[in-house]
Amino acid sequence: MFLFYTVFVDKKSKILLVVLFVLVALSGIFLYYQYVIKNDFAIIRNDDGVPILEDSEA
Amino acid sequence: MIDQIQQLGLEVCHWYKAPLFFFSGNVFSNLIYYSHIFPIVVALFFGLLIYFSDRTKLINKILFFLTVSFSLWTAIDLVLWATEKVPYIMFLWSALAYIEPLIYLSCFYLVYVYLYGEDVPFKIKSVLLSLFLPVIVLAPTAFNLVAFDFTNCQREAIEGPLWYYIYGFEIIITLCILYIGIKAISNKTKQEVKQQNILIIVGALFFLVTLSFGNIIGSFSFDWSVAQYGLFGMPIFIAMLSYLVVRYQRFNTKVFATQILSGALSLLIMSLLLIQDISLVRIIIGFTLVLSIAFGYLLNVAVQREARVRKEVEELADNLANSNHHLSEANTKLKTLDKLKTEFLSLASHQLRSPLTSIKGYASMLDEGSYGDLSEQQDAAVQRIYSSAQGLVSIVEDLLNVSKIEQGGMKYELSITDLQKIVLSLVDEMRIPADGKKLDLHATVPQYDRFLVSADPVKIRQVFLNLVDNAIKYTPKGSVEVGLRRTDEQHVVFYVKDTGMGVTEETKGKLFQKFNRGEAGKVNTGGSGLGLYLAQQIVTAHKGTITIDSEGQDKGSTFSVILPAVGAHVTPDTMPT
Repeated sequence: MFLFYTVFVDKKSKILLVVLFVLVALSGIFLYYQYVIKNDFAIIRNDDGVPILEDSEA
Repeated sequence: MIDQIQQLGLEVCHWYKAPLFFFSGNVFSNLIYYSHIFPIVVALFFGLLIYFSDRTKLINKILFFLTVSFSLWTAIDLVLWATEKVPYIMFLWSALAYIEPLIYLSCFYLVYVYLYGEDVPFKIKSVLLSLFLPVIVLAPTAFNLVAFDFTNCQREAIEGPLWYYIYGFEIIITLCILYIGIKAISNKTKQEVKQQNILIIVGALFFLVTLSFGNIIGSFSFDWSVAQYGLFGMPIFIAMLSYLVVRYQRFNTKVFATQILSGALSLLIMSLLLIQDISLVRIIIGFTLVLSIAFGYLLNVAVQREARVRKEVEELADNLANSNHHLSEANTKLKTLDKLKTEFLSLASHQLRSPLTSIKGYASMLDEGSYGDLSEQQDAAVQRIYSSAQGLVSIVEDLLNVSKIEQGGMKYELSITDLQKIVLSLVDEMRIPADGKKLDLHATVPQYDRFLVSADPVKIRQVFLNLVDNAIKYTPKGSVEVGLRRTDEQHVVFYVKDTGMGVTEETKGKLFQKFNRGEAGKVNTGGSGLGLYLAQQIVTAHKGTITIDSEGQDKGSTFSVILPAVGAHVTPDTMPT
C-alpha cells in the first residue's frame, strides 16, 4: 500500500490513498485479531467431528 | 477447538507441518513451487530492473507496484498450499481479497499511462477506488470467508458473496482495459506505436484473464489445482513487456534482454533441483526451451539492431569527417582567393587611376583650348572622352573603397558636420545633370532647424551624392526631392524621393549587395553596382541605417539615411526669435 502511495503523483490522489491505506490497515488488523488471535471463524464439520480422508489425498 | 482440529488434521488427514510456511508435503505436487516461485522471481526481477532504471517515471513505479502486488498474492497462495495452520489459512485467504483487486487496478493504471502518456484523471481514480471500498469493509466479515471446511481433509475455506463481487470487479477492470485499448488503437497513430499498444494490451489482458480464469474456476469447482496455471500469465506478460523494452526501448531502459535471459534461465535450471519427478522435469525443460528460444530471439533482435545502428552511426561519422575536411579545404581556398581578389582589385584600381587622371587632364586641356581651337565635332568628341573617363574614375574609386572596407583599411575622420550645407551644395552640383533630363530637382530643408551629426563629411557627402545621382539616373521624368527632417530628438534623416522606376519587394533585399544593380541592370544606365553597398557600409560605420521605401515598379522610391543627431531638435515653436 505504501508503494501504491508513491505511485500517485498529485496531492488529491495521495490524500485518497492515505484514507484507503488507513482503512485497509484497520480492516487487516481486525481480520488478524479475529482469525489468528481469537480464532473466531465458523468451521463446518461432520457430525462426528472427524474429517473424511478422500482417496485423492491418500 | 482449533487445537483439536489441528490435531485431527495431522493424525487423520496426514497434514504435514510447515515450519517455514512455504515448504511442506501438503502441496499436492512439487509443480506448485515451480508455478509460484518462478513467476514471483521473474516478476520481481523485472519490476526492480525497470524501477531502478528510472525511479522518477510514473510508469516504472506502477509496473513495480504491479509486480510486487502479484508476487505478494502468489507468495500467500503458496503458503495456503503448504501450511497446516487453520487460523493462518483463514487470515491469509481473507487477505487475498485486498491484494487481488489491487493487481487489477495497477494493471489498468499501467496500461492507461502507457497508452495515453499521462496520469489517470482523478475522477476515474475515485470511481475505481470507491469500487474497492466494499472489499475493505466486508473483508473481515463472513461475506469474505463463510467458514473453514473440515468435512474432508482439503484445508480449504468456503468463499462468501464478497468473492463474487471481487470477480465482478476484476471482469469490469478487464473490460475497461479492453475499452481504453480499443480506443487507443483506433486513434490515428504511427504503425509502430500501434504495434506497441497492441502488445501491451494483449499482454495485460492475457495476464488478467488467465489469473481470473484460474481463480474463478477454482472457486466454483473447488479444484484449486487449476488456479496455478493462471499464474503463468504473468511471465508471458513480462515477456511481452521485455519485448517492448528490447525492441522499442520503452520504459526508459536500455537493452536488458541478456539480464532477463540469464536470470530466467538460472532460475529454471535451479528449480530442477527441487523436482524429483521425471515427468515434471520434462515440463520444466519444455518451459526452459520455450523461454530460451523467446529470449534468444529478443536478444538476437536487440543485437542486430545495435549492430545496424552502430554501423550507420560509423558511416555517418565517416561521411561527416570527410565533408568537414572538404569544407575546411574549400574554405581555406576561398579565403585565399578572396584575399587575392581584393589585392588584385586594389592594385588594378591604383594602376588605372593614374592613366585615367591623365586622360581627364588632357581632355580638359583640349576642351579649354590649351592645344589650339577645336572644331565643334572635335569638341564634342573631347567632351565624350572626358565624361567617359569621369565614369571610369568613379568606378575605380568605388572599387578602391570596397577594397579598403574589406581589408579594414577605411579611415573615418569624424567631426561635427552640418548636413544642411552638404545637401544644399549637393543639389546645386547635381542641378546640371537633372536639368539635362528635365527633372525637377529641389531641396526640402527646414530653415529653423540645424542638422548636426558626428560624421566624416567627405564620406557622408559621397553617400548622399550617390543616392541623388542614382535618383537622377533612374528617374526618366518627374521630380527628385532631396531633404532633411527629424524623426525624433536623437535622429536626423536625409532622404531622396524620386518619381522614377521604383523598387520591387524582391529587389529591395538585394540592392545593398555587392555588384547588384537591381532593376537598373535592365535599363543599362552604367554603374558598377557598388554604390549602394558602399553607402550602406559607410552609413553603418556612422552608426546609422539606410532604408528604401517604394510602392513598386514605376511608382518611385525614397531612400533614407538615418544618423544619430548631435544637438537639440528645433521646431517652429521653439525657434529662437
